[in-house]
Amino acid sequence: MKTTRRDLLQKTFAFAAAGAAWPLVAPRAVLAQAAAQGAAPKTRRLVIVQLSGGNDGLNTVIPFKDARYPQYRPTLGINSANLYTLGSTNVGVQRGMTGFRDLFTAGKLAVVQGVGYPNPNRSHFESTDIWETADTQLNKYVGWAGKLLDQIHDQQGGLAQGVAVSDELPVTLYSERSFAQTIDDPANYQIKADTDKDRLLAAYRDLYTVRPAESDDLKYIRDTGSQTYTGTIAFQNAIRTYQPMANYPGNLGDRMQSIARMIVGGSPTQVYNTTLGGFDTHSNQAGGHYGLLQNLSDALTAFYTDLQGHNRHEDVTVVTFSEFGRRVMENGSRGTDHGAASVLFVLGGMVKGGLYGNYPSLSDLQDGDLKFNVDFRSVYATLVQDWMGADATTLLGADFPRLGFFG
Amino acid sequence: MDELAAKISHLMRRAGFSCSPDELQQRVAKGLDTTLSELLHYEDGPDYVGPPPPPPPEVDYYKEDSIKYYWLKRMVKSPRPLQEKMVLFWHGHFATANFKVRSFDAMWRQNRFFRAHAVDDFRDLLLGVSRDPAMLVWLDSVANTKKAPNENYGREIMELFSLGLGNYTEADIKAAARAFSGWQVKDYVGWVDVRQHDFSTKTFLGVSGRLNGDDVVDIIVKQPACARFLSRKLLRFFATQNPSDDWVERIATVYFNSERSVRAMVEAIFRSPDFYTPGVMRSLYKSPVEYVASVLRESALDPPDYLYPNYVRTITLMGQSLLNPPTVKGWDGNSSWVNTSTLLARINFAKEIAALKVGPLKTDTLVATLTAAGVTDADGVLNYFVNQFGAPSLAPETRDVLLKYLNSSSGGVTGPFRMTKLSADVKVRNLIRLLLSAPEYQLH
Repeated sequence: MKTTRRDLLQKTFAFAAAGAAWPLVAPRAVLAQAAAQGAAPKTRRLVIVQLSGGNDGLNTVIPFKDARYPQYRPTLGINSANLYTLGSTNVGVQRGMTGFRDLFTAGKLAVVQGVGYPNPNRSHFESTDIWETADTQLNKYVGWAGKLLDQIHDQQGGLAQGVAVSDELPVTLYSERSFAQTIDDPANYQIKADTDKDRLLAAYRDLYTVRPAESDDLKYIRDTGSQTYTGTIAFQNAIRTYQPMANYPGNLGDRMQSIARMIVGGSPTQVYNTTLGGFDTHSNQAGGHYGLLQNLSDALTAFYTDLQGHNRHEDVTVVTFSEFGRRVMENGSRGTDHGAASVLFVLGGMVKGGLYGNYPSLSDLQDGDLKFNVDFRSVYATLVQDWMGADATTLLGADFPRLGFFG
Repeated sequence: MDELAAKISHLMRRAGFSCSPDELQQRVAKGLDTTLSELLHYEDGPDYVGPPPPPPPEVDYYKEDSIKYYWLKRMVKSPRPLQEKMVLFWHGHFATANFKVRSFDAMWRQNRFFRAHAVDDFRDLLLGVSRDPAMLVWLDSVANTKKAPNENYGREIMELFSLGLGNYTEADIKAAARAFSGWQVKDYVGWVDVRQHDFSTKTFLGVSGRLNGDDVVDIIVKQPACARFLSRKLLRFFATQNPSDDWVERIATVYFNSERSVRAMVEAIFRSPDFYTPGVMRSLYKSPVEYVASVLRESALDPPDYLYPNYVRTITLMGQSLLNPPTVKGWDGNSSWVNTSTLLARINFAKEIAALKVGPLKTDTLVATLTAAGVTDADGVLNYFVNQFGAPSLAPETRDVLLKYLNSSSGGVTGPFRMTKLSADVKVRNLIRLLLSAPEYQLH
C-alpha cells in the first residue's frame, strides 16, 4: 500500500494556538463535512480525572438518612452533623467538600449514583482496564477516550489529540489512529535550549522550513518539523499569557492548573486525563480519605472557577472515575476493602446538575457490595454523544442509555 | 565515503544498529563478505557480557524497566548486532504486550527465547512461541478448552504470524483452536492439560486427523503462503516498504530450500543486489529504539549505565513502548513513527546526547580530536560529524542551514567558526543536536 503525502499529513497534528498548523491538516472539505454531520464545536473539551485505588463511594456521597448506614460503618460513618446535605436530597458530602456542595447548589455538578458493571472485578489492574477500555471482556487494548480521539480524527481530519498530565500515558488514551502524549508540565512542551538559544532556535526554524528537492518521506518529516517548531513556539506564547483566576491547592491542583493553562492558552487538545491516587483505603481510612476528597473538591472547584473567570467554563466538562467502590461493611482495621458499585461526578458550565441513577439499596447487597444500576458505559455514552458529538454506539459496540446530564 | 564503505555502512544500519566510523573502517578492511558472515554466524564470535537484569520474581514495574534497559544495552553494545535486530523483529512480529500478560518473568523468558532462536528454523520459532507462557496468556490460549474453544490464537497464528489474510477459512480457525485446546501455563512453563485437550478428528488446511498444535504448526510451515508472508515481512523490516513480488518469491524459495532457515533468508536479502540500490538505501524510517541505539553506537559515547532507564523512557515518548506494543499487530512503523510529539522527543533527546560530557564528548577531548583530524572551519566540523553519524546524505539546503549556524557569532566568539574550547562547547554541541534532528537523519 502506497502512503500518499495526504495520508502522511493527516497522521500528524500540532499544538498550535493560533491555527498555525490548521490549514495544513484540516482541508476545507473535511471541515465542511464535519459541520454537515452536526459535529460538536471544536472548542469543547473533556477532562477525565482518575481516582486510583478504588474510591469509597459510600463515604463520598453519603446516604446518611439510611438507618443501615451507621450499622455498616460503626467507626467510619459520617453523621449528619459532619456533612453537608446536597441541596434537598437524601445524600450528603463530607465537610471538606464545600466546593462540590456549592457547585451542586449552583446546578453545575451532576452526581451519578450506583455506577458499575456486571460481574464486578475486584482486581485493581483488571477493573481499571475495564473502566479505561470500556470493555468488560478486555478484547482490545484501546482506551475509550482513545476511541473518541480516533472518531474525532476521522471526522475532522487529523487534529485530534489527547494529553495526560501525569507520569505515564493511561490506557484511557490509548488509540489506534490519533496520538496522545503525557505532559508532566506544559513548560516542557518546547524545543529545549540552554546555550546560544536564539541562534539555535533560528537554525531549527530554517532546518525545517527550507524546501530542497527531496523524497516525499523527507518532505513529510520536514513539514512535521516545521509544525513542531511553530506549534511549540505558539503553545509557549499562549500559555505564557495565561493568568490564573483561582487558587489551585495541592498536587491535583497543580495538574488541573496545567490543564487550565492549556485550555485557556488555546491548545487544540480536546481530551485531557489526570490522576489522583491514594484511594486504596484498607486501614485507618477516615483522615486520609477526608483529605483526598477535600483535595478533589478544592482542585476541581478552582478549575471551574478559573475557567469561569476566562469565560471558558461552558466549553469544558470534567468527569471523575475510580476502578471500583469499596465494601459496604468496614473491615477490622478502620478501613474498607475492594468493592463494586460506586459514585462519580460530572461537572461543567453546560452540565445539568443533580442526582442521576438511584442510590443502591443497603439492604440488597451482592456479596457484601452495592449493586450497580447505571452501567458506567452509560456515562461514557452521554459524554461521547451529547458532549463531544461522536457516535457512542460505534465507540462502545452497543447501545447504552444516555443519562441526560447535559439536559 | 567510497562505494564499499557506503554498502557496509548501509548493511550495519539495517542488519544491526549502525556503527562508529572506527568499526566501519575495520569492516571495510575485512570486506563485505567477511562482515556479512560475521553478522550472520554470530555464535562463532564473542557475546555481550554485562550484568544481567535482576531476576524478576514477581510483578514489579521497576523490573519491567530493568528488562527493557538491559535489552537496550544489548542493542547498543552486543558484538552480535544481527541477533539483537532479530529479537526486535520477532518482538514486533509475535507482538506480545505486558499490559495484558502482567508478568515480567514471562516477558523476559519470551525475549530470551527470541534471542536463542533468532535466526533458526521458522518452525522452531512458530512452535516455540505457541508454547510460550507470555503468548499463551496474551492470546488467551489459557482460556482455550475442549468444551469452550477460544479462537484468538487459532486466528492470529495464521493472520498475523504465518499466512496472512485470505489463505485460510473460518473453519480452519475453528480447527486450529481445537488443536491448541488445553495448551496451558503451569509454573511459568507451557504444558498440555490433556483433560482440556480436544483429541477428536479435525480438518485443518485440507489435512484431516487427530491434529494437535504441533501438527497445526507443521501444516502451516509447509504452505507457500507462509514462505511468502514471512519473506515479505522480513523484506519490509530489513530492506524496503514495497518489496517487489519477484524479490519476495526469491526469498520464499530460500525458505523452502533451506528448511525454513531464517538465517538463510536474511542472508539472501543482504546478498541481493537490490538491497544496495538507491531506492532501498535510506528509504526506511528509524524506529525510536533504532534511532536511540544508532546514536549511541555511532557516537561511541558509552554513557553510564544509570542513564539507560532515561533512554528507555525517552523511547516511550518517541512512541515505542518496548514490551508493550499497542496490539498483536505490533507497531505500524515507518512514517507513523514521526509526528510533532515524537519528533519533539527526538529533538530533545538529541540535546541530552550532545550535552553529555563523557568519552569523546568531553570538551577537551572534543577539541583535541577535531584538531588532530585537521578540522579548522565550519565545513570541516560538519563533515566530521556527518561521517560520525552514518554519513546521511544531507540536502544542500540542510548543509547551508547547519553551516550558517556554525558560522554565526555567539557569546564571546564573533565571525566565522574557529576551533576554541568555547566554540566546541557551544557551537559543536548544538551542531550535533541539529544534525540528529535533521530530516535526513530520521531515515536509514
